[in-house]
Amino acid sequence: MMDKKNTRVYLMMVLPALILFFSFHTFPLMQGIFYSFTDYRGYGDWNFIGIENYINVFKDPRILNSYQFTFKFAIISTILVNIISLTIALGLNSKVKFHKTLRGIYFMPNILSILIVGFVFKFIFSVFIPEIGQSFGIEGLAKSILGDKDSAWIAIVIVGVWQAAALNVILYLSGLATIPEDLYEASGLDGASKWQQFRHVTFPLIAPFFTINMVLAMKNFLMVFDHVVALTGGGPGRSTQSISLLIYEDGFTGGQFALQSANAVIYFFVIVTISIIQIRFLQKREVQM
Amino acid sequence: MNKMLKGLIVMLLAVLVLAACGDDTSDGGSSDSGSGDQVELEFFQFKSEAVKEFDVLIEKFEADNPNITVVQNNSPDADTVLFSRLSQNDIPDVMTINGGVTFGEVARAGVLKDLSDDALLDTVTDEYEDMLKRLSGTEELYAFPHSVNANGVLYNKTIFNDLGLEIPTTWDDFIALLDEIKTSDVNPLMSTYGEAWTVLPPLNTIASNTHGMAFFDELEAGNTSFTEVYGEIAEKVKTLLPYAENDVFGYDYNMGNTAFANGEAAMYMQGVWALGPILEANPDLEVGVFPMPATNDHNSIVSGVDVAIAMAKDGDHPEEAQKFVEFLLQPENVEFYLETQRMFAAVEGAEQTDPALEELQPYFEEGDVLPFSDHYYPQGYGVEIMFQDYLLGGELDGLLSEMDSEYERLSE
Repeated sequence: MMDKKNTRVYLMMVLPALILFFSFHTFPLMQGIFYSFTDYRGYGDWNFIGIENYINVFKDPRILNSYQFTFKFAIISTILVNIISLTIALGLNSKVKFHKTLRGIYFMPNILSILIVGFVFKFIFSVFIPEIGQSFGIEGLAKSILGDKDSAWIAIVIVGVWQAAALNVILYLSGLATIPEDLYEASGLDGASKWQQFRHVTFPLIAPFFTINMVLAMKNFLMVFDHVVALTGGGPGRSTQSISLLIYEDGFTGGQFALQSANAVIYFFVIVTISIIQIRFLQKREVQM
Repeated sequence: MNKMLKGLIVMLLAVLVLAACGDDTSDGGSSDSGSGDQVELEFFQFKSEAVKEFDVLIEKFEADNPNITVVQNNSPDADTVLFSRLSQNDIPDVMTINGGVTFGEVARAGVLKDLSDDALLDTVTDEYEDMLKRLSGTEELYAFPHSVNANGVLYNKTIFNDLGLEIPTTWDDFIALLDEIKTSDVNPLMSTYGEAWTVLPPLNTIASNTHGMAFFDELEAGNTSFTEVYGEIAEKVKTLLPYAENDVFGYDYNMGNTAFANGEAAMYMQGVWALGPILEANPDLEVGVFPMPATNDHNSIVSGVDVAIAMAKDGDHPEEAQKFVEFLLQPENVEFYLETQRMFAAVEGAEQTDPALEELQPYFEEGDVLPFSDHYYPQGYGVEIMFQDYLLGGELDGLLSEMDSEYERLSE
């Protein structure tokens, strides 16, 4: 039997958070699911229309287009972020000079608002770089890459990776700190090269951190919104319209609240499925200390 | 333990009920109704560039009506805010709405006061009354037009004088003029299609002058299609593209305004609303606006209701709200607003006297105006994005079939 007094104390601790979470997260989520079965426009009257919205999601060319962009963006960004942040983390973990200061500096992007960063980068892409391109006569840089349907997404990848790498560096650093020094000494005595040490000691031991970084990065990039708003607003054309942005735009100002609610519900399950698959697959490769 | 669980469920239910009630009880800024003589009106105002002007007017109104306090509420992305407040049935007492697709939606939602029989309508220009009715698709009128804007071609008078250029009145003249400027080292046209909506000023002018408003009735009746009518329009928009020698798709609206203000182009197809930011960037610029010659026949000005004033149907203070709206629509107060806002009046007795706008004023006096075409496409149509795509190298057939299929999908 649990001590009654204790239970009450614990409950008092949990309850406020539970209520807040339920009323501001779970309840709106349930509302969204509810409205996805109606023809609600966000206001006014509505009727139940069954699963019609779910069928229409697959017929809407805008939604299919946004899935294409979002997945291309998320997969490439996830891979890049993990490569870059692992490299930086390895560098910062070694005894380079000022490594503590450098850690602080590398964490900076994470505390800046993405919108602000986005507007700064927008200026760089559409004013600063073209000016350099023009004054040095470099054809490829003279025009803003944000204005080109084939390259605008690259700008979003650059900003997304720049901003997201900061958090992943910290996570990798904490992973690297868990590896005992004597493993390197032992492998060094056995004649392992630096690469072999990384391949057979470091990487397997930080595998749990690799898993969590891959999953978190993928999930965050799939929900990309701020970057796109600040840099391109989804353009040119619809070339960088992410799923979240489409849900927001068509759902709120486009009068398609119910359809986009259905889209959001489907998307929710897509993200959950991907995350579970990732975790299953990557956890198999982890080793236990 | 069981008791605890029960308590928890009760709490959760209470939260649910509270959340549901919250929708009905919240009433924005117009609290303490009935208590005391002091009445507080919420004035939801969407134009961030006009906050100061309305504050001055509110102050004047409050001096005349000491028992009424008006709170101006200006939020960025006002359309979205207004829609989300509609969904909670939280309607401001008095609001300004842009006379576009948003107005039509809000009016149809049945939350605005019917103004069809209001005595104030005598002073309002009929064209704009009709425009608002067409937007809502109703016989009733749900807002007073206050001030109206116009599309046109902004031109740099200094460059026009230096090159000895004349203002064109037909499409062919316009193209000839563009060709002539192209031979000099001046950029003939500033275009900023990196920001999709900036394709609308030329598009609307060409479309409205080409097909008139009857097109939309025919379209609804199924007698015509975009494929039949918009080929010519789209090609004209594309014809103008190569005359803009700046990085068209790398520029956004703000960059375009700054560049035009610095004399980097002879002409700029925009609306009169761009004059404000342009003259702010360079107060010494000699700038004028002429109606864009969209066809070789007579061309009308494309103009829309920039600010329409509406009231809540079931507001807490209908009399005070009416009083405030009457005040805002008085010619002298409209004229005060026009001094800084570079718009035109929808109310008789108020005139725009800015020299930069003198070429447009006659059109307003004669009522030679056409509405914006894009206000009559279905909500969420995104014509500007389809055109941006087309101008970036898309096929004409693709554009036209997308316009038809999206129209069908969205208008149901």
